[in-house]
Amino acid sequence: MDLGEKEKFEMERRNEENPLGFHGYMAADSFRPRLWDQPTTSQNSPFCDATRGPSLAAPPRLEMGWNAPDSIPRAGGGAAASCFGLLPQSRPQFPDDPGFIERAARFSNFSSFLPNTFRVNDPAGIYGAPPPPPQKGEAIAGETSQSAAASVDNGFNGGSPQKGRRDAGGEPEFSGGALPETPNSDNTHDEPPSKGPSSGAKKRKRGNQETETDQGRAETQFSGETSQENADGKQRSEPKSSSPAGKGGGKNSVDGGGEAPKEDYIHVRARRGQATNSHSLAERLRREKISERMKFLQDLVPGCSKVTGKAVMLDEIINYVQSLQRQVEFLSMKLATVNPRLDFNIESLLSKEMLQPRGISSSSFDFSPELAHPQLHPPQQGLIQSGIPGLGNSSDLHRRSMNAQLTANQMPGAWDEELHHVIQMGFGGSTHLGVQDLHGESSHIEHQDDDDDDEQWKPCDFSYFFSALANSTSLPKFMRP
Amino acid sequence: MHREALAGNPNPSRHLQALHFLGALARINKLRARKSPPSRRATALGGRRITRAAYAAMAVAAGPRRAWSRAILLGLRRNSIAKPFLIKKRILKPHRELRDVGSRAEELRRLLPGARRMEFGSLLDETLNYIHHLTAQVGIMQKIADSLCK
Repeated sequence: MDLGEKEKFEMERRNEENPLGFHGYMAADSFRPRLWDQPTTSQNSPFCDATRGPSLAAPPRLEMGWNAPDSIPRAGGGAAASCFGLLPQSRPQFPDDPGFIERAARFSNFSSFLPNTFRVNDPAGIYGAPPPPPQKGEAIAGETSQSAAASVDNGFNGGSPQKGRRDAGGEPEFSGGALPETPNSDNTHDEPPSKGPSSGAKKRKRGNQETETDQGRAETQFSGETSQENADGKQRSEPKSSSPAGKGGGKNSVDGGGEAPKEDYIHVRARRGQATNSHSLAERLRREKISERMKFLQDLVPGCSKVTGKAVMLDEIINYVQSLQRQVEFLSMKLATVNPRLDFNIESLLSKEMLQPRGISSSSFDFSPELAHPQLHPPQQGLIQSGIPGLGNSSDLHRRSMNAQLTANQMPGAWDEELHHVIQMGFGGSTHLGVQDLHGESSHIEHQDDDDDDEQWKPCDFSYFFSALANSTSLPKFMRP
Repeated sequence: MHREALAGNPNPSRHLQALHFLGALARINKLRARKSPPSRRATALGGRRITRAAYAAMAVAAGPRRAWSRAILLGLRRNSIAKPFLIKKRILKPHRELRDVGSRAEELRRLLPGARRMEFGSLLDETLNYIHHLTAQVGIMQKIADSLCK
């Protein structure tokens, strides 16, 4: 099997001091699908492939970071294979080797890389158990790129002696190229948890762990920088530019990117222990909205205030709406049976006048009461006055209000006021019965904001209305607008 | 003119609603007075017309921003005059889950015009608005009826 051959090859390569150091690991990872094409990847557990899938975008960037066509062959052949080329092989055996996991957790890049991917994809949560503790080695690692490389290499040497020694003097430019890669890979690997099949509780737990560890890291290493990044709120693009801060800043940026922008957009703040991914935030927002509207409905629908439970409340609401609809029908039948001779001439006049556009000067509104009165033919006027006792007064009131308001050129307000008086004097003044609550409400409302009504008084609304009415009531031709 | 903050005013277009309804009522009455002698059928027809006028007034007062008002106006435009608004009798199923919100929401969707495929939150919103306008309409009609019957 060529796997064995590769191993040998790597052992040989490892004996040559590989200056690439630990960063070869990244290269190995990103290049691995190329190297271990058929047998190993098929033999590897599927999650490896799944997680490596998105990170395949890494290689071109890596090559950019490396100053070199001449180093690429080394990376492909030597470094990649030599450092961690064995990784694909050893990963399926991870459950047997908890010590390696611990080492990995201590290892700065490993802690960002391996536990994430494994915790994401492992349904059993084996790897989710040990949270990566914040390390002093990492604190050192963050300071300069070179020391990062060195400490990382040291950690690696201490952790896994079977892999051979690494040269501490790894080229610093690699760290510049390869270290910022980790946040990217983190990004790609941090995405899956939102869609992952793992349970929400586990997700939450993991998120807390990560945030805690990252905060610890951030405090130790990059407090200034990370705070700045958090303040910026656009962390996703940051890690590429901030090269030495790659580890802590990038990691923190990933977690911060999970929370901060959403808080900016949705304005929902997750309390302690609540899920923070976008779906649950949106869902929480929706539920809050629904409960708020339910509260409003509870206030509105009579007999609904004592009821608990959404379903019962909905029952009440349905009953109420139906009763209202029936009431409308009943009242319309009643109105149809009462004296049909009544002509609301004033009202039709009003509506005709309202069809005129608002911009016309008040002189063109010759709906002064002197002109309005001749249109009320004497018999009809008598009818109206007999039918509606208050209307005579209301016409007087008309006159007053019109005279007062025609100068002000505030026609909508005037109409509104006047209509209010018509209703109030004509109907409401004498009859308060049956609709006490409604009337209280209307008296509460009656002097309302005119601006809001102005919107309703646009001519287009009336054409809309009249077209609807014309169809609905089959008006005679001359009445149609 | 006295102005009041609109906060808490659920139905700012109440007067408009009354105005539209009164205008429609006047037109209906005029039409009926001109056309036919009072009979049972004419009264029923007039009642239906008035119902439609009431809904139209509600819808226009609510404005085109609401789903239910749009649905009402569209239905009025499409339907012929003879077709009344249908109010189905509510049939309660015998073995009904006490906590079944979904079926009730479906019922509410059927009840509310234009809310057949509405998400639950907006359904509640529409219901709120619809109830406001409906109560206002009932109040207006009641006042008119009372003043006429007197």
